[in-house]
Amino acid sequence: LPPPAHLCLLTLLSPPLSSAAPTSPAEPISQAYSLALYMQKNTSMLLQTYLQYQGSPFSDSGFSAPELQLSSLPPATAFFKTWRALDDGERLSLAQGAFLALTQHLQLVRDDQSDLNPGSPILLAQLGTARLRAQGLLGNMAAIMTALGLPMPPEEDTLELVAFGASAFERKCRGYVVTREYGHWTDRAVRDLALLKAKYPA
Amino acid sequence: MGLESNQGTEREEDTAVISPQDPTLLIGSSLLATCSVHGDPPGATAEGLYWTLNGRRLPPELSRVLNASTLALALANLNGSRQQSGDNLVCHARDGSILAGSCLYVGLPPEKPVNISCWSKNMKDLTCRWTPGAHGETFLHTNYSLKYKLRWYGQDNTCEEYHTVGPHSCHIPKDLALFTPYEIWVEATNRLGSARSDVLTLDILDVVTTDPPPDVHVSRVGGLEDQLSVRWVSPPALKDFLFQAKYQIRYRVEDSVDWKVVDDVSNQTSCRLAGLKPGTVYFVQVRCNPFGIYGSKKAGIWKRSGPGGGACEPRGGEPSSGPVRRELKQFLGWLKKHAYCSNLSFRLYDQWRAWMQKSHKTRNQHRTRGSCPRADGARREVLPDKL
Repeated sequence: LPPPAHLCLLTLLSPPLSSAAPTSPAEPISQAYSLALYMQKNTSMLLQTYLQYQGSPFSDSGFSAPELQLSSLPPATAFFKTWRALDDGERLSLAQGAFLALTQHLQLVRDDQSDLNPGSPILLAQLGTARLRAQGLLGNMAAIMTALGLPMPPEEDTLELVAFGASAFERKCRGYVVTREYGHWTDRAVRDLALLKAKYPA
Repeated sequence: MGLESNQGTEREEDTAVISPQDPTLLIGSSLLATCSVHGDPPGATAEGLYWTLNGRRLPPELSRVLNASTLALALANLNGSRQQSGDNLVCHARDGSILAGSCLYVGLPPEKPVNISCWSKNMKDLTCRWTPGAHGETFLHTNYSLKYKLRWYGQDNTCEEYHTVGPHSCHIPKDLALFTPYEIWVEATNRLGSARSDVLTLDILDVVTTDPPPDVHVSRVGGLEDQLSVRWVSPPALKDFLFQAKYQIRYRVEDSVDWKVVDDVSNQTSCRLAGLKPGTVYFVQVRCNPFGIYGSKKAGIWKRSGPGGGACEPRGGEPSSGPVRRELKQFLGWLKKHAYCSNLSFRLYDQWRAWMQKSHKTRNQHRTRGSCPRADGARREVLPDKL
């Protein structure tokens, strides 16, 4: 090979030398966005399946109890202006914190339901799948943070010990709030990631 | 953890507690419950609160205000729980929001499980099945546990693989001894109590059975209208067994419930059934019974074939059942009269029968000369003589 072409080949084979600049976040953002969209398709089914197994009033058509909340789960709703103005780090950090809490709560709800509703494999499978998907989304968001050069938030234990002593009715309510909030946070993640996708085009 | 009930956008957070939490009760019993409200700031009142059970509002005459912050409820003659996760008794605020709840578990203690039957398909494992003893439901989740122990020695063991052949079954895969009796029983437990079945004593060898022979095929025999040929394959597990197998065939007409059984099929894997009604649908089943010094008393499991049917004759040997013998006599009589055949074979017999049936149908008695087919297919005139 003539020398210039040889040199050219060498340049192509060696990796880019810069390590300070972060890699493009477009790819992990796109992946996270696809996953969030996919999760969004199943969240209402999870909530409906869950409610069916708890009996009336939960299983009544159109059941809604917004007054029920869990202090250990961050709320998905926010004022639009505030939400729009979040910087990348805060935006991702809030979402990460929420999905981390959700993975832990979904595990707890699954354990509760295998006790309250033994012999309901469909519900238990759906809860297990939801938890795995939330975990997947956490992984994707970590990749985005790395690509943007942002620090990773520490992994916290979001469930306090007092959660273990809950009565059957409290556990039913808890599962309702968790599956409801899982849906709300997935909807929000889709919006968050759409914003990021627009900000960092491929 | 803080399961909260937020009343609208006001700062005040009313919480409430129902007592008792998660009670377990017998069907028909009564319950006295209270809903106590704690307001923050204080001043929350029991006025306006109401109860629902499984989503339905309870009549006001069942409630009573005990004091400023407590509402009581008296329920009588409770019905069995509607779902296994418990009936939802809920205390609501005036605006309908949920303040607190309690799950009620109303039912009956379990009854003695009955009809335990067990079998082994390979002399190493044991599968058992039982029926829950119930004159109806218990309304509570009931847990079944199959237990076993050597009759004269050792501790209780618990079976671990459940639901292998239906909801009330369990499979013990290994570590079972032969030639020695086991005691087996089932324990049923729910929130209200437990019950134990009678003990079944058995030796694994007594309950060894075989899977049915695979690939049972039933087909017509040439043009014959009242015979069927049944073919099957020897079950693969048989080669590991310490005993031999004898087959049995049973068959019945489609709209009958009476089975005819052919017992002595020995260890062939095919059989011809005769003396059947032409133009009818038959159901045929084949099973394999263990037999021999290690054979058990337990019969094999029937294997169905498609519709077909018949009764067995050994191939090429003496026909043993009545109708065939009669027909053969007729055949030989006819042959004597009308034909001479050096090769008397079942094939010839079949051809004759098929011809007989056809002629029966058309109501014509053909008195033509019969002929013997030769191996090469050529026909030869038959002369009456030797027979």
